[in-house]
Amino acid sequence: MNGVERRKNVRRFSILATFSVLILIVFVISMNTGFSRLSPLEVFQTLFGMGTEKQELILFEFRLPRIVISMLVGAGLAVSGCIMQGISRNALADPSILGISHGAGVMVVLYLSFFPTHLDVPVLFLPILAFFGSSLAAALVFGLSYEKHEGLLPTRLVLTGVAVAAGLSALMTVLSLRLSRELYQFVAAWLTGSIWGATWDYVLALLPWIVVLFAFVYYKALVLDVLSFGKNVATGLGASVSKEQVKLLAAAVGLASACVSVSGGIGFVGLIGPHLARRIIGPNHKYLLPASALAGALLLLTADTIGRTILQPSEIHAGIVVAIIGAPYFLYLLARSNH
Amino acid sequence: MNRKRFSFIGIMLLVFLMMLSACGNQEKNTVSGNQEQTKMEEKATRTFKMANGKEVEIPTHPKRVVMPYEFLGNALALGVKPIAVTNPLMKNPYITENQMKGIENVGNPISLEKVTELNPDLIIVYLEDQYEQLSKIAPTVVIPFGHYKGIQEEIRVFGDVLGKKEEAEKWIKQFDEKATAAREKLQGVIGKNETVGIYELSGKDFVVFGANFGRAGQIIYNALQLTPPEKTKKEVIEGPQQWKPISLEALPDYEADHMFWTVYRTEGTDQIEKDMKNSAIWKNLKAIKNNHFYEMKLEDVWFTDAISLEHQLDLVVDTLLSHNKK
Repeated sequence: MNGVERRKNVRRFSILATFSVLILIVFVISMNTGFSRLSPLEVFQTLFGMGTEKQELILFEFRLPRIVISMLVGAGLAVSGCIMQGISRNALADPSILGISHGAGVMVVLYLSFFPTHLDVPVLFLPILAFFGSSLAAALVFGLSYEKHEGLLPTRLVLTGVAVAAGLSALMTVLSLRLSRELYQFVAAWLTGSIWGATWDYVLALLPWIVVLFAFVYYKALVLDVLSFGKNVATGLGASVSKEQVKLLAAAVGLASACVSVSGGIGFVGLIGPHLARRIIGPNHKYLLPASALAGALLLLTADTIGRTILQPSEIHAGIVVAIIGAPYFLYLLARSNH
Repeated sequence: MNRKRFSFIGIMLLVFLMMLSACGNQEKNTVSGNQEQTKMEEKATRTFKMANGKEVEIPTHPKRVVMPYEFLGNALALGVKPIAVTNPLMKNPYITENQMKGIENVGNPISLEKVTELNPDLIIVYLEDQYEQLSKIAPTVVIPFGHYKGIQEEIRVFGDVLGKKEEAEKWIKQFDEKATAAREKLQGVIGKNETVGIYELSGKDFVVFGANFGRAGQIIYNALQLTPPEKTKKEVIEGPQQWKPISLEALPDYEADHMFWTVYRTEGTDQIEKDMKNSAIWKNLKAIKNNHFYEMKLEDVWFTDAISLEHQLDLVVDTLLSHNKK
């Protein structure tokens, strides 16, 4: 028994290690690619302060913050999706399906349509707005799927989420018709999820959210395991279900809206990251959570690197690359589960 | 024996590392050397106050400018050829291949790495979304799109930023003269009591345009001083933004004796256009009944830079003259 458990653990750790190594590899590739072709040697030199000013600018101010942000956002969205899937026991739950990214989008478009000056497109103000909007959307979705005596209803959560998302995206379309084309282009790009605005400020704004919320969720890994058995079993096992559900979902929303506010609406990462992780490492949240984070980080970092380099000097937004990779994988999952 | 070989490898490594760091330092030196040199040449930088109230240090006579494609005509009109422009949404029909020769494309959003490689000494943007990052490469100036009252004010700002104040005044003088001549040509053809309106079927919406959002508004209302419909004047030209979406039913309220028309085609536009042209509302418009309906090619009236406006002045005058022979 002990031997089996130990072998399992070795396997799990080697999976986590493999993910980390893959991330490291993509990280190195990502550092080396871009419009300016820097050789690994040049990257290495620059990292140790021996590069030219230009190389330093490109690596430290343009590439590195973007790489770090992709990883953080990928990890955050995947963990958020992982929590939502665990609690709702619905494999489709994911921040973009629950209307959280749409809430953020509506807020941004609303602001721009009331203050349509071209002067102060509030770049640093956007994340705060987005956060406000996504929290509102989340509160709406949660409020509607909360029953006093039964707590959060997982199925209703997803259904309301889809409905709210659809409503909000219709609202967004109506509002954005009133925007000038230049602003519309800006909003549209932000909404499809692009990480071009990445600076260290954003990293600093995002990092505490991710670290604190991830720590909290990881501490609750066992509760997540229990909750994913369903309400009755969980109650039977002594968990105060609705309280824990609300706490964990709040953490998931916090993670998602922090990420969305920086990167715009990147879908699919929150869906595929945890799926992939669960397939490889199993449903035990103590391992599933870190594995989801790593899978999400790897996925988004890869997507952004591809999007950044394939069509230079133009870019494909990371959100679109993820969707291009994500959609077929998702269909594959569906096809398999039919058998 | 072994130890000897080991120390040999060690020494080789050390030499290699020293060479590496020497190379690095050398490059760094040449870069800063270059910068000192260029600074010497220009001598002075100066402070420029942007439309948002912030101040930036910019070179007095910038030589390597990166700017939005939409503003390219302003620079060319002042005799400045930028080294790179952003990726155009639509090609400007008034800028020739020859004028574009040698101007790089930095994408849209702007590829920060490409701009860095190009070594600009001034960057102009019209949105602030990449401002912070771009200003790490070179002094960056925000010139908002459609912010200034008219081309005269806008070209003055460009003259100021690009160190071409005299050229800007010269351009304004010749443009104003051209506009006066054009007004004379139209005298007796379009009366002061005749109204002229600018409309677009934009995707699935009808939009009325004012005097400062492309579609030759600056030409029609500012340069030629034609009369807008009362409602357009109040709600759009004097309103908070220079364009207003309306419904087909509301079109008669904004009706004018002369209609300038453009179509921005997206999915479903063709059907709406067909329905519209068959509707009673449309057929009863004065301009349609009197054949004072002028459909323009979108790209011909899209841009608002100095070069495009000069061409649009001729285009609008020719269009009005050819339809209103008396």
